[in-house]
Amino acid sequence: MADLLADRLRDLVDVCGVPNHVLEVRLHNQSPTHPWGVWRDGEPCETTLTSDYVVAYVLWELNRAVTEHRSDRVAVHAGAVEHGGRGVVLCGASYHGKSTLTAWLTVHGWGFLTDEIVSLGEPGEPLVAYSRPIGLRRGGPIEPFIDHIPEAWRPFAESEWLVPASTLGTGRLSASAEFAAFVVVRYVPGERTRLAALAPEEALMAICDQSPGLGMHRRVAFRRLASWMNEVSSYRLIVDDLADVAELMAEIVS
Amino acid sequence: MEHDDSLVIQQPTAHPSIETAWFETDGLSAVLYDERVSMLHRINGSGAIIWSMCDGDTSTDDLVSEIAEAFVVSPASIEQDVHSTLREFWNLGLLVGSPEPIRVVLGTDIVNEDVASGALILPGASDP
Repeated sequence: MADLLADRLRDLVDVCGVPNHVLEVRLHNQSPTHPWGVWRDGEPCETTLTSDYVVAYVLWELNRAVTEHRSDRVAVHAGAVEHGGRGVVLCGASYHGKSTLTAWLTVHGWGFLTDEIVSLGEPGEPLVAYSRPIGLRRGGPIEPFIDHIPEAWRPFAESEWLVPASTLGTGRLSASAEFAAFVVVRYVPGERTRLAALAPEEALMAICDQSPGLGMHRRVAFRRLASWMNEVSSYRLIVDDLADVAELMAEIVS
Repeated sequence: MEHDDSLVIQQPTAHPSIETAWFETDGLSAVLYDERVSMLHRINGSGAIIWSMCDGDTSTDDLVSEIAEAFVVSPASIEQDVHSTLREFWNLGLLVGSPEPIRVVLGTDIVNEDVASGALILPGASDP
């Protein structure tokens, strides 16, 4: 477990630097089904975790810590990638291909910022990296690009595998980027992959729907998200076949 | 919730819990955020114009007159629709004095989307 976490979280340490919390994962009880526990700064968080859930739980605690640490920024559940210094935030409902697209673009030379949480400061402030591993379901289009998974780690990755972005393609990690465009991603099997302009009010509705920060900061967060949606170009990306998507996406930041 | 179609709102005032983000991409539109229940509403076209005048200083009669003048139509031709839109705002809890909304999860509603073009209640000068 220690080797797995150190390996899978390597980008986070390399890009985001010194941690300000200590998460401990302990194999601490005799339960054959729920042997794991997680402590944060010495306090127990969850003490009866299964082997196939413990890694996901650690990631969830990391998300929580990051959101709290950047409490002056508005957290959005989204991916973000960078091309020529210009960042694109990728937003979408669960199972609509946000992480797959983030990974695909990383494979094809885009700089990886995050696949999970974008923390937005005031308009004009850059996007900053949260380089946790990309959560990918097995059998998807990224599978051929994923590094070898040691047999010993497989029990911890039954449904989803965590892939450090640095292992994908050129593995370029970005520390920050200008927030240039916002894309709402929707996976529609059988549809032609295409990009269309999105009105800023529609973009605001979409980003609010994916913003846990709205519940925390309420109208302050709403104002900030509205300001951003008036600043950046917004698009809706319907995606099935990923073959053309890198080229399409490059157009919006060129 | 039962809607009272006979309700007449005399002095519409946006509730202080509502934050409005205005947009002017293809005509006026707005996204409203209700801080009490973390709920979003999107208002297009004529709905947005009416919302912009729910300032507590403009009576409904004045609101009808001002819109009619701006769009060169008779007040009588838009009065019913203005009242109907205000009742919708009321039913959504957007106005001072209206019942407080009870929704507790983030959600979205689209208000007046079918009049987004303005064709129903705010015909332009060149329209028949």
